[in-house]
Amino acid sequence: MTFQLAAPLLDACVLAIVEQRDVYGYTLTMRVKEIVDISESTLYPVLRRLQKDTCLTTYDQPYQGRNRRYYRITDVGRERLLFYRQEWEKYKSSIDVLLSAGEKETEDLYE
Amino acid sequence: MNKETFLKQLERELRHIPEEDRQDAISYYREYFEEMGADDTMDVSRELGSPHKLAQTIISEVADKHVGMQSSEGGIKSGVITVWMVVLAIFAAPIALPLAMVGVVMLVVFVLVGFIVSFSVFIAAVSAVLAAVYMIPAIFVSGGLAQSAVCLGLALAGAGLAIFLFYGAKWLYHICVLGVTTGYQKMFAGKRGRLND
Repeated sequence: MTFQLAAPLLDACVLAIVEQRDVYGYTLTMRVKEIVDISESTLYPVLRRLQKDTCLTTYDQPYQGRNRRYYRITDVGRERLLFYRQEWEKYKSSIDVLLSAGEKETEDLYE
Repeated sequence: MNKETFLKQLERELRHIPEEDRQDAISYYREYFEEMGADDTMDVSRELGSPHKLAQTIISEVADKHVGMQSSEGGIKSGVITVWMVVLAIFAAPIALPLAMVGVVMLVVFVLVGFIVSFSVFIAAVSAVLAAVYMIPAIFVSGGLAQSAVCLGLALAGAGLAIFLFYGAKWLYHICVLGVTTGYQKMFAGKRGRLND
């Protein structure tokens, strides 16, 4: 993976996934791994932190004789996600401007 | 290592954090292994890394949380817990070696100070001897028996003090300098002996 996923961006991805539907740890990890290559041990501290910040709550649901702990987004979590989305748009645009500006100049050189 | 070994080691590494946080972590990963369908032969540390590294992340996360709680709720108990977890995190982190080096430096300073102090006491002993010696002629100068007796007494007192200080200096030297250096040698002689086994 060329570009590392910084902590706030990882938080944002987790919140976005949980916003769509409540998930438990394993599914969440698999969904994040589809997008970015993280280690299984990365996600638990993220979930702890989001719980501590009251962005997520948990509830248990029995399944086939074992227990599944589901994570659900809270109103605080939705606000945080909205903030992250705005920040991401700004960030994405400035990087795009920078990277494509260099590209255009290189084109002009060869004309 | 298989899942049971992993979970046992993780629990051991987390033994100093609060029960609630420890059980939370263990049940999260136990649930994860079950969802994975990990049987007793699967090597889980290939996917998750070492329990030690995982524990380090969890401990600092938990310490963070308790620091946050402390500032809002106060209380001595959570403060003590926080201090312990910070200490844990420090010793888990790779700065234990520089800290050990600081310990060595402090030991060297202790030895040097012991050396200097025992030397000073020795000088004091010598001064006492000189004072006593200087008193002796005064005994024989005529000025009455009482005065001679006082001079003799002072000379003897000086001699006595000198003897006391000499032994004091020797004792200090033994403890501070010899004690530390031979103890150090014994430590390393022991290590070398074990290496040769």
